[in-house]
Amino acid sequence: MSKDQELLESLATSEYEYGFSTNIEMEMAPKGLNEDTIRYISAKKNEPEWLLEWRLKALNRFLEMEMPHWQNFDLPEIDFQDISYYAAPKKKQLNSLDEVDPELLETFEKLGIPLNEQKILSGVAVDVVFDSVSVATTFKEKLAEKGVIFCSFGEAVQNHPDLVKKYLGTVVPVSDNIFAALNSAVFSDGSFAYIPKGVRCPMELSTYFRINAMNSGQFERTLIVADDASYVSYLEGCTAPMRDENQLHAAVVEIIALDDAEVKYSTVQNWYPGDKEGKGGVYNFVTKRGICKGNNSKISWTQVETGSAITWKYPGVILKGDNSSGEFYSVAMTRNHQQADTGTKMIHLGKNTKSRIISKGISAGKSHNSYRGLVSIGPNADNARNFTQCDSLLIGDRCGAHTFPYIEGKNSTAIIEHEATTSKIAEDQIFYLNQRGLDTEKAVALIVNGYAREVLNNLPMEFAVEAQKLLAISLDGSVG
Amino acid sequence: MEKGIFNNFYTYLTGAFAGRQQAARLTEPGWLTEKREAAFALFAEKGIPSRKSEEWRFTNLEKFLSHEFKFQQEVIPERSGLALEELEASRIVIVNGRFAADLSDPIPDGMTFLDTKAALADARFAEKLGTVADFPDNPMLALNTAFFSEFSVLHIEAKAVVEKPLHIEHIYTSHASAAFIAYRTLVVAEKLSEATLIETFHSEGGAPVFVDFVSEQQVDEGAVFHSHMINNVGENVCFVQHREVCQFRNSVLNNSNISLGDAGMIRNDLNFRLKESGTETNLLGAYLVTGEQHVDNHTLVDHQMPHCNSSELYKGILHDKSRAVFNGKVFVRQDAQKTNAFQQNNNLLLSNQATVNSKPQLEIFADDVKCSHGSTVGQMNKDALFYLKARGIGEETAGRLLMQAFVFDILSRIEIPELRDFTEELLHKKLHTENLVIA
Repeated sequence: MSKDQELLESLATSEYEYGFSTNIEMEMAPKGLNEDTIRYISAKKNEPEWLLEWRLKALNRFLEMEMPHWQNFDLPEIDFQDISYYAAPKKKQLNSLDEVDPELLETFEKLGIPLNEQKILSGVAVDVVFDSVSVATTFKEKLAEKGVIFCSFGEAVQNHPDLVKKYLGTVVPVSDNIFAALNSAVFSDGSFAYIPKGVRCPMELSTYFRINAMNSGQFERTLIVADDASYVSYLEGCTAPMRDENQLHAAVVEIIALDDAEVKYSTVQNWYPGDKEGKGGVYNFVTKRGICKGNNSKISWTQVETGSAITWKYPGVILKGDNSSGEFYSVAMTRNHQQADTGTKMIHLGKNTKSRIISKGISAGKSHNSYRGLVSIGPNADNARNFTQCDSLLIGDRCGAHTFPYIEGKNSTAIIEHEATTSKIAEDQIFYLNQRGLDTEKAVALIVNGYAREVLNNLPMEFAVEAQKLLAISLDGSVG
Repeated sequence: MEKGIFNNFYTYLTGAFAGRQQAARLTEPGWLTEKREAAFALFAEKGIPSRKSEEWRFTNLEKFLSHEFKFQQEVIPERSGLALEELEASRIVIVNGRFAADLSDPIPDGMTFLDTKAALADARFAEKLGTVADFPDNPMLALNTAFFSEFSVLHIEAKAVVEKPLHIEHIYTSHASAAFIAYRTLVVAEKLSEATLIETFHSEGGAPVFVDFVSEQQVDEGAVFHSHMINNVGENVCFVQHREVCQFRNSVLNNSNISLGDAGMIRNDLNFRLKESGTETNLLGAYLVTGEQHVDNHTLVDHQMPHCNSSELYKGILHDKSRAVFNGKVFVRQDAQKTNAFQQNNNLLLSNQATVNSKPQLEIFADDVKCSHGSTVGQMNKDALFYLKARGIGEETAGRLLMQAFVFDILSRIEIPELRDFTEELLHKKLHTENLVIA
């Protein structure tokens, strides 16, 4: 067997490192989706009437909608009635980390994200979403000092209903797409962040999601509002335990940036991708969108996608305010039977708006990796500017890399550039590194790392480390 | 389920089908009536494709097909020789889809041209009808198969090297009422042959015309085929073309697709299937749209076998309220290792009311490939404009010069001088239209 083949073999067989599940007592809603489920969730969370009505409206829209079929992967039949829409660990009301289930802490330990240590070392406030309900929130006081609100969505509904009511569903309307409608109807919890005027958030906000309970889809809802001239960097990272049954994750993230505000949103996603036969794995169907509502505002998405059986999301930015800018940096790695159809939407409405898209796809094994992006320049977006680069790297001859950019120009002063390349790692590059004493495996890892560097550089420090680790695991032993 | 357009024209067509079939049974072979039957069933079910279909997302046929189109009866044009008179070429005139022998020149040695009757009688060609372009789910193709009235064949013999280009002049006439014209051609370039085909499209009369043209081409082993399309129809014409080309081992195909005329609407579906290895495919395209013109170019280069090269360059300029669509697909199948595929689309968008939709698309299933695409939308270079102005050239003249230079990139690659001059003339004329706002 040639070296290459050996590498491919080991790549295909390297197992999911974070595969374990935690035995914590769960409180579950009965399976099925109907008005009663929604009333149950709403009642459990002690929600006000308007939110219940909003959920019910979303449910009606959901029931009217059909599954899309334009996507570039095989969408398995999803039985929405066979999902439990609410799961929460029974223990609640924790005041300090010491009260957190030691098993949960251990879980995080295994992930290399010990809460305690992180708290001390990195100064990151961690809002732990374990399945659906927040169990611990740290650094709250420090944030409160600055007036920053960072809490679970449920708490926000109770304590800051005006803010939630004002912004909920304004970026991703309930009828946006079928999964957004589903989320709007059944979302169980999530995170809420509000940065007041002129405040630079003193620390990076971060949430760790984990899907844990068998058969419970996770429907998170994140809402971030950055008021005038504020700044926040928000991190979201996730790993999920090994499961044989497919799990559906349909989250919605909404970001609102007002005048001069800046929001940086980073994701590392490493959910269970299924085994090497393509069995199991998480369906990651997420709607993420930000709006640069005010002038001179900025939203930046950075994502590292290595997990999930199917990743299907297009984090986008609506550039409404004049001089606003949007960025999208993405590394998507697929292997075995993973499928990814991801990209971004940049919708230029305001004058002098700028967007930049850098997408790096890596496909190995029998996986398929698609970039699908929209760049739309409206007639009033004078001097709008877009630059898009999407590269694909192919490892192995049974994988696919696809590019579907949609470019729409309606303004005669706008400039749009798009370029894409697809290739494999050049033999001469590997040969060069071999000559300098690196074996092929290391050479490939080095090249892939360099290939993804432009994106990884945009991640906050701690995340960059984890992201590199994830890429390394994916390439481990491994790749090429 | 895709939702089609079921308008008056659809009703007219579905109503007319049975009668046409009955008439066709008397003159046409049985296999053809069967084929038409099957195609009609598909069309009747799906209707005219609407914007709900991904392929027609940016082109709304409903807008263009709102007239009361009837099958075209007229046959005689007022004049032929509408273009390229100075070109040394054998001319074939096709009026409303029908071969007009009395207006055409004799065919050069090494080639044969067959009209409908002769083509259907010759099993070599008749059996190919609908097999090159055979996609059971394409309603526009089905529309043509069900209703085409004329079918002509151009055959290039094996090893024939025909120096003199063949010029097919397609003329559409519509003096009286809104006309629907559906017809198809088949080109078979046999082994090791080499030939040049120039196709120009013209129209006469001012009544609305809907042209549905299908062209099937087969380029055999080692053949070299140069094909040029110059679309110069009037603004009353809605022109829909589906061209399906199969290339075999070591064949070379050069295609240029020039839309610098006044056409109201042009939709080209150009599909190139690279069925064997060692082929080369070069595609060029240029469009200049003004007023409310709509030009939609869909191209597909389907790399099925290893060691094939393809390159594609489309450039266009948009003024006024026009719209241009470019969708360039490149497929690289699993077996197509060592593929080189290159594609580029550049647009000059010069009006806030114009819209450009560019969708370069790569679908790659093999790893040892070099594929890239690029797409830009922009304006004239300010520095270049300034440079020209600084040298005493007025803003408008400078703008025209830059636009000419932009398209020149394409036109300069046309190797036949007379044809190149003709396209440059078209461009020049278009750039000097009154009311054209420049810069």
